[in-house]
Amino acid sequence: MNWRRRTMYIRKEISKTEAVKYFTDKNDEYKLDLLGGLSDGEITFYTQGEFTDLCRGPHIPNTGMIKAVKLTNIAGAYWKGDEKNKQLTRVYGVTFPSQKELDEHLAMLEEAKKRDHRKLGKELSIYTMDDDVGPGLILWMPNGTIIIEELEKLAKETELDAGYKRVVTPHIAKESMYITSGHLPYYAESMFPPMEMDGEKYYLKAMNCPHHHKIFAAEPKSYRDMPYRIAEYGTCYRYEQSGELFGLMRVRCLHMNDAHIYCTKEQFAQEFKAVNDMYLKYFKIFGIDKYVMRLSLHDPEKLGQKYVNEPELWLETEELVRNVLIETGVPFVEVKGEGAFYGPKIDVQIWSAIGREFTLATNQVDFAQGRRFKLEFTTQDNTTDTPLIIHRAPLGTHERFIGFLLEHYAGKLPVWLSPVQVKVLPISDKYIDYAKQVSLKLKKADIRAEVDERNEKIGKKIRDTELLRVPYMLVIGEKEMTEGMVAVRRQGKGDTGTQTVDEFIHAISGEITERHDN
Amino acid sequence: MINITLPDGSVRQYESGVSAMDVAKSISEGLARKVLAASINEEVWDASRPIQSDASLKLLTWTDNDGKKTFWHSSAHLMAEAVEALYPGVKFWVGPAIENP
Repeated sequence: MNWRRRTMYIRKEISKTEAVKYFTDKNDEYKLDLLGGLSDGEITFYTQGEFTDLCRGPHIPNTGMIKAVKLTNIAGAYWKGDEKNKQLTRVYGVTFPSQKELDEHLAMLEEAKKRDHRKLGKELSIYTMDDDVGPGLILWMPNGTIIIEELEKLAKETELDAGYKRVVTPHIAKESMYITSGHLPYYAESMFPPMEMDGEKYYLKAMNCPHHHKIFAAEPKSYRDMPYRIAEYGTCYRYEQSGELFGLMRVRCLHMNDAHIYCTKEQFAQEFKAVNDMYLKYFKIFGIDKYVMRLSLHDPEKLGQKYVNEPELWLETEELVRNVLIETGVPFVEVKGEGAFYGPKIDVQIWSAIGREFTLATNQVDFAQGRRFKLEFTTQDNTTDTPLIIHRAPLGTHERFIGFLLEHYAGKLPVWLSPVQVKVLPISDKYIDYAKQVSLKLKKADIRAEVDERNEKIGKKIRDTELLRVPYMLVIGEKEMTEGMVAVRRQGKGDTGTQTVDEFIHAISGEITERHDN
Repeated sequence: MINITLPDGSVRQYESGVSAMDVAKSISEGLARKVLAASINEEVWDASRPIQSDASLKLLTWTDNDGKKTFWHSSAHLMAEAVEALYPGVKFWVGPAIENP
C-alpha cells in the first residue's frame, strides 16, 4: 500500500440501525458497546483511506498534513480501566506538522527527563516520601525547607509592600463552616473524610478561604478598613485519587501562597491590577518569560445553575478583569463557560525554560462567598454592603512551584534559593582550620556556607560539589591561606579568580539580596 | 446569504453552505493550507463542514490548542488505519489524544 498518499477525512451522519449493522458485520463488540449509549441523530462515522470509525469528530482536512510521526511506547490497558475486563494494547505516539517540530519535541522530552523534579528532588535531598506517612504526603528535608523559607520570605516582603497583613488559621474546621461555604456537599469528594469529636464532624481544610472570611467577620468593618488584605501560607489537604498522585505536582497536603482581598466595587479594578503586577514581578524574578492568563467567563444560559445568578455583576467584573489584562499588556485568552460558580476565574499558565507548560495558580473573583458568610462593611453613606473578594496565589503551592523550579533551573537554583550557597574546599587537611574561619565569616554575613572536610582529592571535592549544584566553591590552599584570600569557582563557569574574603562576601551578598536570576 | 463574524469583529457575507475552508481560501490560500479545523459558534467543527446560518467563525491552526487537539485526534485515526492494515481483524476501543504520553 502506498502510505505516502493523502486521503481526506470524510464525515458521514448515519442512523443507529446502519451503524449497528456495520459493526455487527465487523464483529466488533467494542464499537457496539459504544453505540449502545448513542441514539439517532448524534451518530457520525469518519473515514479516511481504508479506515472507518464511529467518531464525533472533528478532524483535520487530510492525512497529508501529518508530516512527522514517532511511536513512543506500548502498554497494556484493561478495557474501560477495569482489571476484571480483557486487556487491550495501547500504542502511544506523537505527531507534528513538520519534522523540525517533532525533533524539538523529542529533544525537550529528553531534557525534561534529565530535569525531572523527582530525580532532582532525590539527588539534591530536597524532599522524600514514606509508606508509613502515606502517599502524596511530602516530607520536606532540610534543603527543601530552606527553599520553602526563602520563597516565604519573598512572599512576605512582597505582600507587606502591597499592604497585606498576615494571619494564621487552624488546619481543621467544623462541618457547618464548609456547609456555609458550599464546599460541602459540592467539593466533598476532594476532601479527606471527616473526624468525629464531641458529637461534631470536623474536616481537614481543603482551602483557606472560609477561615479567612471568619477573620474578616470577627470585627465590624467600615469603608475605611477596605481593601482588607490577609495572607497566609496555608496548609491544605485534598483527597487526590492514588493513581493521580505524581511527585510534587499532585499531592494530598499542600502549602499555598494564599491571600484574600476584600474590597468595594470601586476598588476592585485597582486591587486586581495590583495582583496582576505581583505576578509580573515574580515572573521577572524567576526568569519566567512565557506565560498566559486564561480568563474563564460565565455562560449566560446557565445563570442560576452553574453560575450564581447575578448577570450584571458577571458582566461588570468580567469587563473590569479584561480591561486590567489589556492595560497591563499581559497575554491572555478568554474561555466562555469555564468560570467558577461564584465569579470569573483566571488560570495562570507558565512555561519552564525547556518549554513545558505548567498551571501555576488560579485567581478568583468572588461575589458569592461574601454573601454566604454574611460579610459586611459600613459604607460612606452609613448603609451596609457586601465586599467583593479576590482569591489569589501567585506562587501557587510550594509543592508545585518547587517542582517547577527544579525543572526550570535544572536543579541549578539561583544563589538566593540555593540550600548551600558556598562550599569551602580545603585542598588538604592542613587548610581545614582556615577554611572553617572563612566559613564562619560567611555565616556571620548570613550566607549559607559549608566546609568539605573529607579527606579527598580537590578534583573529587569539586566534582561532588558541582553535582550538588552548589553555586559557589571557594578553594583554599597554601597561597590563599597565607594571603588571606579565596579562589572562587562559579557553578557551570569554573574558575573566576582570587578575591579577599570581604570582597567575595560583598559580591555574593548583593546577588542574594537582589535575588539575581542565574 | 449568511453573515460570518470573524474574531476581529468583522462580518463577511457568504452563500449558505459555505465551509470554514472556503472562508479561509477567500482570505488567503496560504492561510487555508494551515487550517486544521474551525471554531463555529465556539464549537469545534471540521473545516469542510457546511455552515447553514449566521455564525461566528475562528480558523484553527497549529497555534491553537483546539487545532493541535484535532490534529492529534486525526493522527490517532491514521495510526488505527496503519494498525488495521498490518493486523487485519484488529478491534479498536477509543483513543483520545492525551498530554505528554
